[in-house]
Amino acid sequence: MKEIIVAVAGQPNSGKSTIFNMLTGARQHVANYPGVTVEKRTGKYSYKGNTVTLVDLPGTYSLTSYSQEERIARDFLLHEKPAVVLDIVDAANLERNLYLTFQLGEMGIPLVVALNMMDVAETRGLKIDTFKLSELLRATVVATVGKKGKGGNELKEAILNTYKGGHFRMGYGDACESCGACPGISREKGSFRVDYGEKLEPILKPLEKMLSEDPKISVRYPVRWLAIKLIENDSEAHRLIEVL
Amino acid sequence: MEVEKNILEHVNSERERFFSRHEKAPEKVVAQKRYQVAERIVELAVKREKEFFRTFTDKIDQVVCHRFLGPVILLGVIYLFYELSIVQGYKITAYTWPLLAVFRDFIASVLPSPGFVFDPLLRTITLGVVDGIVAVLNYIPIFIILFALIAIMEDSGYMARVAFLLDRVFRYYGLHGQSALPMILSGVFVGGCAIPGVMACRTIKDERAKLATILICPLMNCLAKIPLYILLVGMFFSAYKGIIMFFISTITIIIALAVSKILSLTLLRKTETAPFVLEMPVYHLPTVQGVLRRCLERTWLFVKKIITIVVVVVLIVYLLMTFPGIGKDRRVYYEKQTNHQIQAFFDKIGKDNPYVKLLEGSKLTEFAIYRDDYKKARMGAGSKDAKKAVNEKFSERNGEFFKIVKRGKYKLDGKMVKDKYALKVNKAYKKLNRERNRIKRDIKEETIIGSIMGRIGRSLEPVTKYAGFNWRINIGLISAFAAKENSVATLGSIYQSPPGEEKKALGDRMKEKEKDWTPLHALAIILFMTMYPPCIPTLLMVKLESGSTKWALFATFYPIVLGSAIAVLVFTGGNLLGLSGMQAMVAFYVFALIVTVALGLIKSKEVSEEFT
Repeated sequence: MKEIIVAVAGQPNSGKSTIFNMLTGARQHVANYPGVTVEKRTGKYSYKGNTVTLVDLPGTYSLTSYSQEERIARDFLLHEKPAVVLDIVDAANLERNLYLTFQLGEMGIPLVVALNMMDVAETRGLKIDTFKLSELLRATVVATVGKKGKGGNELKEAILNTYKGGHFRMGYGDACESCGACPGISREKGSFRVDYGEKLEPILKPLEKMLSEDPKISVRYPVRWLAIKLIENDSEAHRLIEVL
Repeated sequence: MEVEKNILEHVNSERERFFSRHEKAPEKVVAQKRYQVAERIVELAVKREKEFFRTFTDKIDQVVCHRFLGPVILLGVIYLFYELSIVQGYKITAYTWPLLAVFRDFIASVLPSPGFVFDPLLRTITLGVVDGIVAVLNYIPIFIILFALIAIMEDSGYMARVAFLLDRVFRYYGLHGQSALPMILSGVFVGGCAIPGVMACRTIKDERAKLATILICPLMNCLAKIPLYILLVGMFFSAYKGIIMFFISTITIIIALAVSKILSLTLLRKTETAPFVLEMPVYHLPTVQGVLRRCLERTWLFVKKIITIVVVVVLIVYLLMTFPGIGKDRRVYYEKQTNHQIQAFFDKIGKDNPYVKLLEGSKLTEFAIYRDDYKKARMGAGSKDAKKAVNEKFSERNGEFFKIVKRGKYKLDGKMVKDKYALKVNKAYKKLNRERNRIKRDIKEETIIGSIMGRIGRSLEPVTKYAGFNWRINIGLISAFAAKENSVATLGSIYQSPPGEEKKALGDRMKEKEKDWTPLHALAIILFMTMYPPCIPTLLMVKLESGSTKWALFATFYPIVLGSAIAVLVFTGGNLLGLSGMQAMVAFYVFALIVTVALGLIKSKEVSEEFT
């Protein structure tokens, strides 16, 4: 069986490490990312005959190149090309956490969103429609409570399913509802895109086209992401093109 | 290549056009749009059933982040931290130390056995390295407690509040609120350790503040600096102990803040600073499992990395302090002295003493080792039963030697006997052993003075005299490089007591030899010690946490320069102005305070924030 590499991303205080521990248990290994002092935690679990390796990315609010940790997280997604990204989202702070989710989505890797700390959100009177959210984000959304170990199996199922190209939504306690349950939306129709509006889209679209026509760039990097980064004047993105 | 260039040119012209048309940077619009979309998605997918106030957290924060109460509570927490980890941790090391001692003894027993005065080289070097490792391993209980406490602070959410409270002061000095914890661990209150301090720097996200904190942590007062302070304060400032200790602990913070500011204005100017985001998470109750896992993980990482490197570095320092060693003629000289003493010993116990045969030739060395082992075992045995067990063990190991160490009082056929020959040997050997230790000390001192380190110490005297240091102090200070505990130990062997006056305290012996010393001398040495370069394990930690050897080297050299400059300023300046020790201290304190406050007022450029 092939090993499935899954990157675990999330903002600080989203409960990333709790989910990580819930999924992998004691099968963990801690090292540093090469050349830097940022901890790199990896862990493994087996699910339905598949070995899944989780790589914990540094907790960041965004994926710019401002800080070392953001760069590490981004470079891993860009160069190591994990099969799935597991995005841990604090359900009680959904709006702020989505800021990172969008950027992860733009990198073109299939996304599974763990809507963590659902219990906290519920006690605060927030009722989150995971089905709707899944539909809007065009990604599998799984409700979890990492501290209480809720949603672990559902996450494993979602990761495997997403890896295989499927799409469904689930919450803890819910039965698995496979793809047919989310009518009209599937990743084949394209992943979620932030609409950057009439000011930016007319610039982004031709740039995307330019990039996708370049044989070297289009195979290496997600063009939508690169177009946005270039327009944002991101120094690392400029370098990616310069070194080609 | 052409295509790539075209793309970049296209992007630049598009950016410029966008800028001129909308008077806004495209990245601002990108961020804005993302927030708008996020808001829209939340509107669609989330229903707010009731209005929520972060009541519980808010209530705590009203107290914990209070303008006046906050700092008071923080002081309490810091005190608790210090008390639990450093004070209680040290108590635990009293229990773990014997375990390490067993390990050391095991290694010692495997190595070639010691000689009467000259030990085999393999033995000295290996034991030197083992002692270095054991000295580091000894801190592990402290680390475990520290890491557990840090994990609790992080998981509960209090750490963010600490950062918030201290950021108000720290940001003026290129530091970050999160710099507080590393500094506390390193020993703000006199008595910490820079190793966990530097390690704790990894929580700082801002690269510039992180590096600045790593570099100033070693300036704090670690436990190993204390013995020298106590020695010198006792000698020259015994009437002002409290004031001097307050001076020592606060002057280091004042200087450290100034150093940090200067570094961030100069060397670290180009280092990136992350946009400052301080999130106040809701308070959580940390889980036992989470805390344990993190604490053990960090400890293990520390042990693994430090041990592997420590072996090499300790070996090098040890060699520098041993080689080239004493010359052949000196060796012969010491051997002669030893033989002379041995002869005197045999003369004293008399030819007709039945024990003579047992102690002839190499058997004397055997007895010396036997006696050393016995003394050590007796010292370690606390209870009566333990002492009995020690006696039995040694009586079995060598019955005849046992009679000697028991001063001739032992059981023979169930009866207590008094063996006057054994008593005589015991008494005569006591004297011989004293001479043996003296010769050993002499050899050690001569080795250190003649070693590469010792030569450096002497050759520095023409320069260091402006700071009031003579070559003896130089060697003491240089030997502290491997570990600062060494400074007092080395001074102890340099200012050794004349025979018969062993009971005299080191301070008195130093005063006798350095009659012209004034409190100004002591103040200069103390100030140099406060700025002393980090010990080797700390330097390795600096290398690991900063990710570069360059910074580790910098962390070694800048404190030497700074410490020397301060010592010279205080000593020479104080002498020129005719100040007393206390006057010089106050003058320097005021001077440092003014400089630091002035530096804090200089503005440094901040990076624009993404989150607006």
